[in-house]
Amino acid sequence: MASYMAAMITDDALIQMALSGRQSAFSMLVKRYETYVFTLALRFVKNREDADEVAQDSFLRAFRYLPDFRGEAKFSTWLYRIVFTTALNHLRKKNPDIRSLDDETKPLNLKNTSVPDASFTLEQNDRVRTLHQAITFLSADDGGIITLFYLYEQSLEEICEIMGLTMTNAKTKLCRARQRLKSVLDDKFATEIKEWR
Amino acid sequence: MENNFLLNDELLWDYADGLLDTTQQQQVNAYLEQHPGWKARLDAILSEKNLFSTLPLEQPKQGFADRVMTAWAIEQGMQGAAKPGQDWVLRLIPALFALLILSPLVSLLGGSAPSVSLPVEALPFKLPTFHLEMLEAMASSSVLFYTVLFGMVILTLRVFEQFLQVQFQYGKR
Repeated sequence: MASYMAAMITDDALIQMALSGRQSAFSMLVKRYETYVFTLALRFVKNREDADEVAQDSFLRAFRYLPDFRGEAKFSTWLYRIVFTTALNHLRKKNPDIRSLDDETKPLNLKNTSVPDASFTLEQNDRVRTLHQAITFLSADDGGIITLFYLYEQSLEEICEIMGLTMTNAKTKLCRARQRLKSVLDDKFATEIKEWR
Repeated sequence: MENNFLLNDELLWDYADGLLDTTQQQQVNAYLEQHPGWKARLDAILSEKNLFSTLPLEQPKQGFADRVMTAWAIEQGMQGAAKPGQDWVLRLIPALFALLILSPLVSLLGGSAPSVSLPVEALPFKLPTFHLEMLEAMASSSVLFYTVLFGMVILTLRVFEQFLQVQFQYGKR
């Protein structure tokens, strides 16, 4: 019942409560977003220990700067932006040469994708598991944008805000990420996909 | 114009994702009406898009939220300690507590006790009884007595203040 009530409270209401000093509101925000923040952090840093640290730092930064949140964007978009910058800073600490998540990318050979195929008549659970595994093979940039767009259903405008991209850049990155995901599926999960066909 | 239009998988994904402008959308619509094979491909893409939304989210280590809240409480506590005087309530309460302890002592010493009479009989606990002889002996060395008394008051204040700060940090959760 309590969790049902908590789910009914909007982000904006929780933020107002948190700003007035209610620690329980902070706690509810963490519980509401912990899996989203952790999953996104994991896409970026590729390591559960580091992702835990990035996720925790992201929440602390979010709480610290909560009075600056003006509600112009959705709270989730604002929070994911913090996760993105925290992850980038984390990666830079480990490797000072990194300037963007693109630097972490190891491009795969792309195959011609102009012919329609029938690879998507798979059993639902197997398909979900395979897709989930395939995403982990993607670079930080690709995994991040795929997660934000398809899983978190952030609009392209919101992704621009989160990842500091232009619209054209975001479209290109999304398209490239999709192609790489398809390449991963074809290269690393060919057997599974063949069985499902 | 439509004759020159050639659909490919990427364009169809962009169409499904709603990333095309109006003109391109109309071109794709017209093309799909004439090419059922590509219409089937669009259905497959939409099905995969739905698949993405069912992907499981990763779970952080157990107790993640508690760890975040503890770190946040510590950070706030440190900020509070760095800005003395902000939480005046936290200081007022131990001051009143110290006054409560001091008042009976001062009365016993025969000094001028505060004019406020404490409702001792209404307290839920019994105040300790003091042996006057011991106090008189201690009072004969007034410097020692007041030094010890002062030290005890300061110590009580600090301990109680710390206790209240912890209670306030976690009590609001």
